[in-house]
Amino acid sequence: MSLILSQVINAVMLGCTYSLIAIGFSLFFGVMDVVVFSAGDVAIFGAFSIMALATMTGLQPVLDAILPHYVTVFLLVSLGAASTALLMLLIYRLVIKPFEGKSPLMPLLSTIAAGIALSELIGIFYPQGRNPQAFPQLLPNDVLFPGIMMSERNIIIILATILLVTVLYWFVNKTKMGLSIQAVSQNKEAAIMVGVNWQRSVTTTFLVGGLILGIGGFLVASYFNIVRFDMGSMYGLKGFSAAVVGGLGSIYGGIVGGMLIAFIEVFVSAFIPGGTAYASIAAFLTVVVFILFRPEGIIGEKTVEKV
Amino acid sequence: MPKTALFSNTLVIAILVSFTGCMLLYIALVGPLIAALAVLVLVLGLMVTAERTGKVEPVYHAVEDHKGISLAVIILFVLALPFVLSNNYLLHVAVMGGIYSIVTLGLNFQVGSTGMVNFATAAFFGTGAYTSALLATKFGLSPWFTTVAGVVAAASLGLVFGYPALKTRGYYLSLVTIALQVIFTLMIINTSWLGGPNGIPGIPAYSLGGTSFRLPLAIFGMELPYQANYLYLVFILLGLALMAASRLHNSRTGLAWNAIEQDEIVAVTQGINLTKLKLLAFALGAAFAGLAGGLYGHYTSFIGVEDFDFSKSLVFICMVLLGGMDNAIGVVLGALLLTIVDEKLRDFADYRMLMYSVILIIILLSRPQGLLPKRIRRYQAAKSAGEAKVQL
Amino acid sequence: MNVLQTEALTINFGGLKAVDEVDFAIKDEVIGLLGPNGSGKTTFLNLVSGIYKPTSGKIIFEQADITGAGPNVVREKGIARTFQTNRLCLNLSVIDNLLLGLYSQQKSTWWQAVLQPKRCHKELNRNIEECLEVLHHFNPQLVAKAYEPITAIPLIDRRRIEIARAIVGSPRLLLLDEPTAGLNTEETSQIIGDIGKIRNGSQKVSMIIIEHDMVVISRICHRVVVLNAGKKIADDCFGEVCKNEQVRRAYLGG
Repeated sequence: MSLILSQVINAVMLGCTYSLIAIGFSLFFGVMDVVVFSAGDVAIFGAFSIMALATMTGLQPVLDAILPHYVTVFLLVSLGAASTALLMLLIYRLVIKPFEGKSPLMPLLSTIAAGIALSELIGIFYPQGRNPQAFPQLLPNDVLFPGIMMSERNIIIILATILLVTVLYWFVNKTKMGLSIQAVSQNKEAAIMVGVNWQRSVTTTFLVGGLILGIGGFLVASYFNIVRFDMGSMYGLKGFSAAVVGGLGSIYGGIVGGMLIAFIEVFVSAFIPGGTAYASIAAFLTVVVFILFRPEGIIGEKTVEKV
Repeated sequence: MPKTALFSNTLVIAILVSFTGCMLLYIALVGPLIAALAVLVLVLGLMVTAERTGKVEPVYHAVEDHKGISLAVIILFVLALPFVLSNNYLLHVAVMGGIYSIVTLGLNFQVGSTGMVNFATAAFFGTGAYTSALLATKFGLSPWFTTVAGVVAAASLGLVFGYPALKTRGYYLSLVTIALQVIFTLMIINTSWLGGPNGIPGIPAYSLGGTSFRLPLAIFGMELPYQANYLYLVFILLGLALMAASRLHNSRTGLAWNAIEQDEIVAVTQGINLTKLKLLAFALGAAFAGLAGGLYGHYTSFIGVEDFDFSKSLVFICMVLLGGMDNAIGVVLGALLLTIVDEKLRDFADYRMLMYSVILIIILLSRPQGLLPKRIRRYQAAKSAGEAKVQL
Repeated sequence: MNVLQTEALTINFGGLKAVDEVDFAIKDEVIGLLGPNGSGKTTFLNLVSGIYKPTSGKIIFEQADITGAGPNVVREKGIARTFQTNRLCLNLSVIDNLLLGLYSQQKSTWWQAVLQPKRCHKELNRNIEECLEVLHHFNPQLVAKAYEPITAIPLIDRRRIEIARAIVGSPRLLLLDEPTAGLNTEETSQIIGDIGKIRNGSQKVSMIIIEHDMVVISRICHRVVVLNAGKKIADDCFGEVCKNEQVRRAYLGG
């Protein structure tokens, strides 16, 4: 029983990290109908930049001396997320915007290439970039409930995700910019006609998405305690699978999909002999099945093509 | 109109084009990385100039009118290559270029002709390689037979992977192929009788009349390195593949594929069976890749899972994109050039994937139609309606 | 003998009956299909050509039940169509587009293309001749442009090419969806003339034409069928239909 419970917690945590990436995918897809394949690599870049800030600049000890630790962590993560937000904007300008109005396959290919370029740059230029790096323990890891192996870190990850999603929900539904983004996602021409500044909405979406990805990367790295320069592609694929399974373009879908994929992975890994190998396979088979038989995802709505 | 003068003019052009093409490839092959990149830029420059001055189609016609001579030039080059190259390694690069060209010809059916961007080509390549290698090493069957078995296995996988193409379109299809490719790689890593992460060593070479292909080729009193055997084999098969691809392109099948790419509703209301043609594109493309895979295994004698992963699929896509979608000669050119550039990049091993991704982005931004863009089909029409003749 | 008949043909889009229990029959004639926007005319054509599957009812073509058959099967049986939005393959040449019209009649397979090219070329040569002949009937000047991409061809000629593509395979029934939309008076006359040529030609082709231009309807249709909100409200010759109260109300409202 306690084994199942601890696996459930595992799955929820993993699901949180996948959900954040999935939300990133959905935001970009919603506003521009484009699958930004570099999302996973951007998230990992976030983790690396936070790690760099924490270990390579003298920042962390200085801040720790004058501020409570959790504020330090908050600041470091914010700086890291800001860097990924800007990175996402750069990616938009360089490899997505030039293909506006053209076949959606071009930004698909270009963002795949951009993701690879990004991870390679990390591998080349970060000190010891090609080797796995131990991620600094920024989040306290005391075990609170020994029976089910639930630690402070687990709680923080889950709470952080909930908080982030709540803030995002408020932003998208209660602010003017958020509503503009929704309008643009639903019908670009109509939105422009009622005076929505399309370019600004798109730019904001990429900034916000980049922020979320950065935080997601931080949480992933904290969860695994390790980062590798090439983690981004697998993580991105899983996050993308989560987005599709949940419903590409839907924030709730990202959460539902993220949890589903995480649960499948964790339970295949834990309860099928030799399962760790097949966990990823199971996750990807799930997305294949969904694309074939329910491409709009669990939450999504079907669209009918007019002849 | 002095017909004889015109005749000899186009003949000269045909010879010039084939010769220059081969020379440029040769220079790229033997020179340093800079030379290869320069050739790339030069070819691009020549094409752009030809397009601006409206000379592209006339040159194509000249070459097609004198197919025999153009082919003879190319054949001579290929035959002479082992004699002229001082370096076995360069010969190896040429063999690899030929192998990858066969793959891209197959991928071209899916991407170029039918518009289905398939990221699982490495899985087809791998299926051919693994099937052939396993049958040869574990059951001692003849490599010729196992290669054919590899083709069949790959084609079957092509049908399986093609099934999603019937239910999805555009980038959803691409995403499914990415997932399937990743599943393929994971399955190989995790299955020990498939070699697992260690791969399959000791794959036997082809042999003809008792002589193994891995022995140096004794000819005209000279001894050529064993790569020459494979070079000739691969390029003969490449020639056949190119012929098949070009015949398909000019047939109603090729036209149907193009129609599917342009507008599926049009295609279907003209009587085209989408299922049949999409599966055909997948199966045939996979068959080509499977053939190349079999050749690869028996050539290098060792295959490992890292040769058949998503990044390899991406490389194949780059080759088709660089060469020119739906242009058979184009994709072969793209494969040869990119193989050469890739090998030159081995000296900068750390920067290899970075360079690939940057090249891909540059191509997409500046010349997505590739070096030799798609052409309008030419059925050689005479002056009046009713005397049209198809070019053989 | 009816070339085509539908019996209580219905399609239900999640509660909306776009075509509602329509009985329809056509012999060797030209029937105009009229009705206000959204009345189900194009949907009806989509049903007959196999693009939509009916929720209920039957479609019988040349005495064979083709209800639920896919578009490619329907084309093979001999029903061809054009589209409101003039669907041609823009990046292919004129001749390639026309050859597509013959696809359903061609016999060469893909492996014959690879292994027996000469035989395939023979068939292809014949097909090209046929296509160019048909093209010549529509507009002799187009023959010289046979190898241009459709993007280089003006709209009226694109409409002609689409109609040519539909008839080059000798269909028994031709469905035309607003063939004169977007054309001026002069061009419309030309299309009327082209349609007349088809009817006077050697093959027997029945036609169903969706049109909003009453001049076209009055000049070429033997009969007229009017739809409103998916239901058939009139089925008579043009003169009689004009006097029909229900039809007037449907178009003018109230």
